[in-house]
Amino acid sequence: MAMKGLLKKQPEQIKEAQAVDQKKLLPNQWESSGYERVETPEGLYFKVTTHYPLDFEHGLVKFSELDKLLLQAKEKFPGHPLVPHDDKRVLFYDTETTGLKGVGVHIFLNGIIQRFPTHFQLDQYLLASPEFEVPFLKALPFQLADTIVTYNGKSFDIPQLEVRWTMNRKELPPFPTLFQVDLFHGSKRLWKGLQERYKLQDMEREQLAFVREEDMPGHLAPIIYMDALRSNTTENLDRVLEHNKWDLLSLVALYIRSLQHLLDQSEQSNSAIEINLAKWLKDIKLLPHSKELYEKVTERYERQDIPHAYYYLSLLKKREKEYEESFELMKIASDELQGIERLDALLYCAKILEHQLKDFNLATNYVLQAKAQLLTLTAVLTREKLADYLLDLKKRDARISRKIISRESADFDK
Amino acid sequence: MSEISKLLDEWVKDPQKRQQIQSIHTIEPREAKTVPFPSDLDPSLVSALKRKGIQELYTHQASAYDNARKGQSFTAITPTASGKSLCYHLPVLQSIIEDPKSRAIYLFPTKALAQDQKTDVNELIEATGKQINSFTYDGDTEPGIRRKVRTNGNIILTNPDMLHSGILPHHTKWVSMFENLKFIVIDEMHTYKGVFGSHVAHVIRRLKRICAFYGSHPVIICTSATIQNPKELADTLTHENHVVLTNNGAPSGTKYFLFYNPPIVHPTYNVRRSAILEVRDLAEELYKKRLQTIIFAKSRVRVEMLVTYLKALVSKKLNDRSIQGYRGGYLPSERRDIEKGLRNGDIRTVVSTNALELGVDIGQLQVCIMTGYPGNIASAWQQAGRAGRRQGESLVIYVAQSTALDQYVVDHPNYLLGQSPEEVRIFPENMLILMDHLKCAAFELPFDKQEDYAEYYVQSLLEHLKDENVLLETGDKWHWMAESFPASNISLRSASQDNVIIIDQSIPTQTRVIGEMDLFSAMTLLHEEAIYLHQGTQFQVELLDWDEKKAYVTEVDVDYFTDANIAVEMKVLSKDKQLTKKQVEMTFGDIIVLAHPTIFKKIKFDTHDNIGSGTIDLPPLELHTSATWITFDKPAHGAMHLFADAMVGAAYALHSFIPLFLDCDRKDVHVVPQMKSILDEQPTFFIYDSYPGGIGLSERMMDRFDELVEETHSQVTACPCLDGCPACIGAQEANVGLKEEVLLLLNHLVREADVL
Repeated sequence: MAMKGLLKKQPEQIKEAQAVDQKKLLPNQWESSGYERVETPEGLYFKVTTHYPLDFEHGLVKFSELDKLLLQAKEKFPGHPLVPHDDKRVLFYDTETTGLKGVGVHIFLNGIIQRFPTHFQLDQYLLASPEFEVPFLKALPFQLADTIVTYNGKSFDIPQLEVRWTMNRKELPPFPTLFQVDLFHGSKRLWKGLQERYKLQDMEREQLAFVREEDMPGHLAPIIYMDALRSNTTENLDRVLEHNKWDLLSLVALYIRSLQHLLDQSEQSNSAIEINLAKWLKDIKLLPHSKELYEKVTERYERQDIPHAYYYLSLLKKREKEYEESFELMKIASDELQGIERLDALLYCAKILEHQLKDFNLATNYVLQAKAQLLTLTAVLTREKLADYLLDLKKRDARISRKIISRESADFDK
Repeated sequence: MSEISKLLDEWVKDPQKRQQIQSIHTIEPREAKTVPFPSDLDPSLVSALKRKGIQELYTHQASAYDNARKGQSFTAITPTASGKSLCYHLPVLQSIIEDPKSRAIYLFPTKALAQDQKTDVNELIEATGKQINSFTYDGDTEPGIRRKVRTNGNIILTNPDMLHSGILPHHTKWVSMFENLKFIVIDEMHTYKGVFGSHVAHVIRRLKRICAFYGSHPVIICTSATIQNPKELADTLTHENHVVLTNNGAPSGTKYFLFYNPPIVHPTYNVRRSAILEVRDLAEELYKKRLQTIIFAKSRVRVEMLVTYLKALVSKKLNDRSIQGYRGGYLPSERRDIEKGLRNGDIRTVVSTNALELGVDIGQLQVCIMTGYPGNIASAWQQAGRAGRRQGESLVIYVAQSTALDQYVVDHPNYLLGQSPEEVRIFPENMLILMDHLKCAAFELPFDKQEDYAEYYVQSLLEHLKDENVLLETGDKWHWMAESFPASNISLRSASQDNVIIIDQSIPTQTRVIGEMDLFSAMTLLHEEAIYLHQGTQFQVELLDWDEKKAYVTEVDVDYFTDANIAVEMKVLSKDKQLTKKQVEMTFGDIIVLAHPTIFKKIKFDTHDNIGSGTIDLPPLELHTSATWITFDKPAHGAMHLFADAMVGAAYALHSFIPLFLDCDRKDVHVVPQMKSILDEQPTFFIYDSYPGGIGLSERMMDRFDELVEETHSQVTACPCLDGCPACIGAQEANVGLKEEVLLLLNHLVREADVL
């Protein structure tokens, strides 16, 4: 209500030509911070550049591995979501923003790591003021078809960048089409069942053995930036830059680690990761690779530890019409699996015996085993599920019996 | 003779009913006025219309088309069932056929209406055989298809709330829509009134601001029921110059208006039989005669009471659903079912709050019963339009309650039937509402140092937002620089934003949410021990968790309902205008109202006896609003004996007649008497707006107070009761002469000072 006097509906008599003291509004105080001040005809932004040697190590990971891994991955797994399309550049990208959603949210920090011939380079671009968003965005080195590696960038960083781009679209070239590698999705597939949470800091702690010291919590970043704009202090802003730096270093390291797993070159590997990966390869239709990996898994580990590998390998073999082999694999899986998974494996055996291998007597045997297994699951399954399974088994049983009889009578006729 | 004429014939011959029938009016049928299709209308649209059996356009549809083609924003005034949707479908579809990139936004006041209209427009599109995409976009839209809607939707059907919080704050995802937006259609414009309308006025201004950013300048098409000031409302709502089209060419069937006054059961007090009970009896008769009937009741409680009464008719049948309630607070799926049941005839009687006034398609009903005056003429006509929408005879029965306004209307049918529907007012200048939307607008697009926000010069307000650390000032702009998402804190529907969730815990393992309610209503309807009615089932409120905004209820079966009282307290914040007139001094300014629920009564069904009471233990709700207060000298000692009671009686009477002058709902303003005001110890009447920040109602009372007092005086004088009754000054004890005292007091307020 106190604002009531401020509302004017009639034209103001004189609209003062706003003789604004430009200097007063510029965040020139930041210069003392050691950020590089970059002036362009359209305004200024600040930049902080850090170099890392080619053999830099972050946690357990050596950055020098990256080149070799990329080459091999491109050759062996073209089309995999972790692998760049072509020989364009690979950039690691992470933003800090003033909020979470909507067009009023600003990106105030663009952090990028690139591989240069002699070193890795971290470039951090700081928005000097929202009025200078155009030079800030133009400074981004993205080019058509670049590969951009992010953590959750498909849902957050890139859409946010597109929002800012659209807001300034009159002064910017069209937004370049980028190839995105999102390690958040990759991590959820690769380490499925092995992590409680999949935030970048969980990943770096668990998978890279890297622990940050005195890291600024990410959710404070917006407040710190807005405070730095309004006051004169950059002290806390340095900590945001540091937070962003760690995010990016971990991003590079996590990418290297992910490619190592993909290329089967990781010392940290285990059967669970390998099965996750084989399943992923199958889902994206890289079937020969998937099969190859499952086969490796069955060779490397004890069968009681990897029933799932047998299960999925069996499905792949069936697709290739290798029915005998498929059955043998599923038989092993059914021996080792438990619960509903075992039930499904037994049913699968019954099906393949009935339809492909035509061994009706053995099929009946598997139907019986499945029934026995189902009875152990009455407490686990919902009533509907239970009824479905029962009905299915009953029908299958009856059908197989009919087939046995008709075959016997056919034999008899001979 | 039609069923309706037969029924009326029967009733006027019935010795009992004829006494209660105050008057019957016939509205003559009207012939259609049509013109040929416009010459430039695409052949595919012409053949689509012909396939629907339309050979020519009604006159208003043709004018609508012409204006839209000229790029002139317009408002079409159309009664129910006059083919109003073609007023916008035709120009919109024509523009899309000419340029497939064209886009249009349709705004409907509710999700339900948008769903309904989607079916309508899709039928027309299908008949043209053209590839035109129309989609609803609201909270129910699957996340999976949202992108498709944004990039491919030629016509987006949505509501103001979604536009406010789901589209405008993310406008960069809608670039192709905003660049090619040719039309904004605002259906049912008359529903955008009061606080809601004021909010929507700002949402439209924000929408236009974003359109300008993307270089489009859409034509705005509004449709509205008959109101007194369509141009003013359309211009204020959209900040655009509108042409108003009133040349309705649609035909209509004969309509009978029956004014029915329940019998007087207590002559001394002029107390009439409860309108609810009377409506129940009429509805029973209509149900048995198999006339499909809609009953309007003013509150949720009354809807539920009537449903309870009427369902007794079919209690012997299993799963009978021929009698249904319909009101806000039901789940959407329940409502869709009811709408369908009405269309296909499964439901023979529906009892509704004003939720069904809107254009939800429920087909033709034969009879409409209004339980009391709905508060304004436009609503009354909307309700009446529910009967006999297209042709054939129909009947509207107005059953008066004992209140002053209801009795006035039953005595003066021309107030309703005469052609003077009320004004619909919005007040976008409400400072709280304006500031809320200014924040949203600044979030959506930085303000220029030279920029105005629609008709408002807002630079000093932006300065204020800077001081609150919401905006950042740079060389030439104000930039949003805060972590919050302003739209999510602003609800368009209610000034107080929280709702109380109602949870049924009758079966402890199966608790479920059965509805929600705003805070002010919850104070009186969901306090502990209240009987809450939902679809005719009674629930007792066991626990009201005011902090968590949850009410836990359990199903009960009792023969009473509850009714709560609220006490109010007033503090003056500022005085903006003052006026001394005759005996009174009038001041307009800002006040704080403290509302405090006190007690509730348990009232028996049927007899409406008071059978018990209890206290309500809730914290007071605070309301900052604008008010006009009238201070006067206490009449000389001895002139009046019952001054305090007379103040209360006069306030009651004044409040009852304010809707006649301010053309608002009775609940939009309050009148509170104070014997000795906290200001200057003088007797004072406070007239205040019921919404935070005020909506401009009480301010207009400054000019019309004399008229109000005079009209109230003559109505109280004319009231046939002896000692005061609900129709004039409220029910009073007998033989104390309070009615005389109230008349004296009212006289005192308007007499010339020198006459003393």
